[in-house]
Amino acid sequence: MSFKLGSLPAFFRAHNTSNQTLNTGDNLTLGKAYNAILLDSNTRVSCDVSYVYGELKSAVVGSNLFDLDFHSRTTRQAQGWQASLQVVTGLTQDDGTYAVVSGTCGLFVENMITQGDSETNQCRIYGMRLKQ
Amino acid sequence: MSYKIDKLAVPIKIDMLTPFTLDANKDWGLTAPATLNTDISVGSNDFTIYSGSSYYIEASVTARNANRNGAFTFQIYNQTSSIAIGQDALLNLNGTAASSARQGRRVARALILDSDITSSMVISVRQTSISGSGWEWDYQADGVGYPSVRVWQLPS
Repeated sequence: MSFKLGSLPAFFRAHNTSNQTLNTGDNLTLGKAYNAILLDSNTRVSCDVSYVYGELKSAVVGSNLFDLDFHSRTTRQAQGWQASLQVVTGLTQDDGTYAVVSGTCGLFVENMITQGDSETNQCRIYGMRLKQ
Repeated sequence: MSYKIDKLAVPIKIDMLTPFTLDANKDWGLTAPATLNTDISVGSNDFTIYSGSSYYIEASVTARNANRNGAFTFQIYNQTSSIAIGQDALLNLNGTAASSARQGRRVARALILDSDITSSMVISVRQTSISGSGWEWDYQADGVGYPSVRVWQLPS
């Protein structure tokens, strides 16, 4: 009997540069992933045990506040830094969130307050596998 | 029969500590995850790192200053030597310094080398100054707060 241990690169990323209209409870869609597999209609990536950083950027007209969380397949990972974006006319802002996750992870709008368009035009996940 | 083998992908261990209180000019209250990845130990207002590794530590919070009249700083604090270490973080929402009442991406950080640690070092995150009124920094549904402390345990 023999065992072959799989090995994935330590670092991975996923992103989407298309506009997404978001509301509270929405998963962010990721367009592409590198060194990771997209799952669940491109809303999550495979991550083993990883330290992940997620960010989004919004450039809409209005005033938006996104609370951004990482969540796994079954358990919301409400750890980390929320993204709080206060966007006024003509001003682009971005912010990020961190988590240690296991299995899969994706970005989730925990809550959003908006007084204008509820769009974000970039989102990204950077990840570093700690165990696999 | 099944086998589960955890293979260390990179020689780094990381934990996220979630502060549960941020009081003016005090150490942040800290909650540890159910299972620690690193070899630290966590108290209610501090955590302890041990010799044999180096550590990179970050702390951040997205605070709101509703009255837009103040600023605050926070810093990694070495309780063992009673000294603030690393780079502090400044949120300045006073007057025209900010177009909104919130700021993100403000991070206090410190790199502590193995040679800095005699046998152990007790670390906290401390608010070192605050001015103005109408601050909010605890986790709330309107997107204020939710701070985190990120501890990287590195090879020495």
